[in-house]
Amino acid sequence: MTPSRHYRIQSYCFNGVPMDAATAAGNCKAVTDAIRDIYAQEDMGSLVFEELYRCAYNLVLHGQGELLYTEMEKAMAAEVEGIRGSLSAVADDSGEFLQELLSKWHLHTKAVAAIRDIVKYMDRMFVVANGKASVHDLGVKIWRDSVVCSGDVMPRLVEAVRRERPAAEEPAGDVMAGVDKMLAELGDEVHRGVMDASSADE
Amino acid sequence: MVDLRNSRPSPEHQQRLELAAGIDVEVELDPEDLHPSVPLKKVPAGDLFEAARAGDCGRLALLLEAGANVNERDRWDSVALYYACLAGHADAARMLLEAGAVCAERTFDGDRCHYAALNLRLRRLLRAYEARPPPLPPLHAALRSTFLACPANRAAFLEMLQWSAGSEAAALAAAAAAGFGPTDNASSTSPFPPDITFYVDGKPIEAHRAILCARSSFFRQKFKTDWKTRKEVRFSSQKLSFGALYSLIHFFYSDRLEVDVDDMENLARACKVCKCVELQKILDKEVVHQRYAQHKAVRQEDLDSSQKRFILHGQSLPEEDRLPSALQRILEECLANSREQDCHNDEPNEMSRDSGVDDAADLYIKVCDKVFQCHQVILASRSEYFKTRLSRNMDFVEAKSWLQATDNLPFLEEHDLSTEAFENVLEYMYTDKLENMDPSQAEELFDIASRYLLFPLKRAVADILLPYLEHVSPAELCHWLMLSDIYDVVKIREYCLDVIACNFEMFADTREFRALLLTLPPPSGDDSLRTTRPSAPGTAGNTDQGNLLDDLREKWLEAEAAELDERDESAKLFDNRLEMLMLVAEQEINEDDA
Repeated sequence: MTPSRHYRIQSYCFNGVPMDAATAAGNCKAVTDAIRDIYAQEDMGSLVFEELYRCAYNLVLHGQGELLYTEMEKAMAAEVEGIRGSLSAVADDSGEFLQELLSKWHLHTKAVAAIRDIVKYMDRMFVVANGKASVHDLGVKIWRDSVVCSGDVMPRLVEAVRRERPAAEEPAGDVMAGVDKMLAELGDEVHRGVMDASSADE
Repeated sequence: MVDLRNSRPSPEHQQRLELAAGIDVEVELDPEDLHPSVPLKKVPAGDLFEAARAGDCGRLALLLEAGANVNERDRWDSVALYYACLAGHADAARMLLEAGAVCAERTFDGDRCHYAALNLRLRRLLRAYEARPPPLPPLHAALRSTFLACPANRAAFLEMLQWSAGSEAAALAAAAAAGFGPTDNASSTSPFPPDITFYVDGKPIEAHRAILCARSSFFRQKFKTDWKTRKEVRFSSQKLSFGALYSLIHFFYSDRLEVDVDDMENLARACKVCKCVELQKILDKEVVHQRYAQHKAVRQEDLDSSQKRFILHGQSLPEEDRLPSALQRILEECLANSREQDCHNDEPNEMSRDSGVDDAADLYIKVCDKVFQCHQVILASRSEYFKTRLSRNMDFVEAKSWLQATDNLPFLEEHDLSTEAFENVLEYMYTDKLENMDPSQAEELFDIASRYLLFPLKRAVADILLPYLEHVSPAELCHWLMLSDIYDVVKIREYCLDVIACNFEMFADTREFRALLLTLPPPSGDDSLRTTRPSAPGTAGNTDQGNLLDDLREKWLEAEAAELDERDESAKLFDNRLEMLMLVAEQEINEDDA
């Protein structure tokens, strides 16, 4: 067993002065770094939940919710953009593309769930009070807009679905079922769009 | 010209709005209902029944405050609500309903209330409260939603609702289902997983050991011996029905018993086995009562007896048999077993095991150098923070310290809070009570309550803090105003603003107040509409509530301002005064620096 990393939870004592920009930026960075780690390694072995939660909590408590929200959105978008880049390197043939897309989608949903837990205070308070999209919805939206509906993934996805689509009576395979579920979660419009396009010129 | 008086509804009006919003169904009371032609008689020495019959709301409030059981029957088998309905006192009826009087149409008592109601408005009131019962106390509500969040329980609950309510209230079932809010959205909250499943007639009921042990010595014994390692227990006895056990376990979580009349004898037997003596007594009595109550039912033709129900609230039981007391007992055991440091050594653990005290704790939490034993299910039910942390503990770094405790129990560490405050928080989470709080801890508790997403705690702390605030200096009051604004404690914030508005000149002379003005976001713009215009989202400060200075101006205008069109001038006057004070404050700071 590795000795547990020594860490200190910084408490932000209120003394009548609003949180200064440096502290706010530092806390924000801790959260965005964690987002990077969460996407990079699935076991999240080096992250301390209490510490991260506290960072996000302090930011929101002291009126920096907007900063945290935009930084988080940016960090998530950057990670997803990276995923899209890695997808374009996958060969088109066979079911490999769909499989890769699906595994990345699962990675993404797991990451979003972890992020949501870290910034739970923001999700409960700031997001509700300001009518923003919740972290979960934001994750779905980013994936939809910058991966599935992007110029280079969409045509390949439609093509792949057309190839893999089972005949009318056959049950769908695991991969197809997964893709179907993912599309359904992204919203009716995308789901219908892909399905229509893939069966249009058969 | 804008009549600013309309921008702030009177408290009375607000309350009515809230009430209407709360029950959703419009039950407007005409002024005529409130002031009947015959003056109401006061019954200063009357009991609950007399007060309800006379419509003496003052007396009623006093009695309810003192803990009278609203669902008690008098010797004519009538409850207080029956008399209020019979005599047509809508106010008194509403008060009783708010206090938890049973009004379900398919119960014996509720049926009589409906039958006796003087007019249709009263019946609508009864229906409204049946559809939207007043909220349970936070502890009961939290545990109940934990119980119902377990998939099997939830399915059974919905089925029962639909079956018992019939087509007439299928919508009601849907509303009740939606009432669990976030549990509908499976992605956002996962239920806290049950650790034991009972099967009766092949149908599952999911539960948590900690709760069952706290409520019944029978379960406590069983979980220590026969069922120690079991994940599920199957009952095949003909003597136990699914409905009976389900309602009993539901009662264990929520202090609210709802059972088919047909299942009552069965349930009474189950209570006997579970050693719930008081509950069994009431049930035995009720079984006899129901046998002879048949002829009193109003519409027997459409009320199949199999649909009749019996509802019991915890307040009908003696104090020590209710949920908070039961949890208080296990909390006391837990605290007694909680040790100073050295938790990692095997020795103290052995000791606590040898001592024979088994509080079935399944979680260690280390705060400063003390290790607290607690129950996962209670912490997870009360605080979303703990629920998340407990479900995440395998992912994050805590996984490493997870198995440090000798008996493989989860071990969490909470930093940066005092043991006293954490003890208070535990007490509140287990019992909804906060008895040993010192006002000096209030600030820390506000912070913990926000962080743990345990919002009802803020109200509890505020209630204790308020009397203390009557004796603090203006400087301290400014501090509390700041705190309550940050942590969004409405009650304290309103109180501080009221005091400051009414004694504005005194505060203007206080240095701390002037310094405070500098740190606050400036009041919104200059035009006369500002007080009615909502502040734009995303502006500085806590955006989920109003600007502090705007609110202060409102309060001040209420207390000091002239009428109607002169009001705007008063507002301008106030703004000028604030600006001047801020200038003074800046000067003072500069002088200090020099």
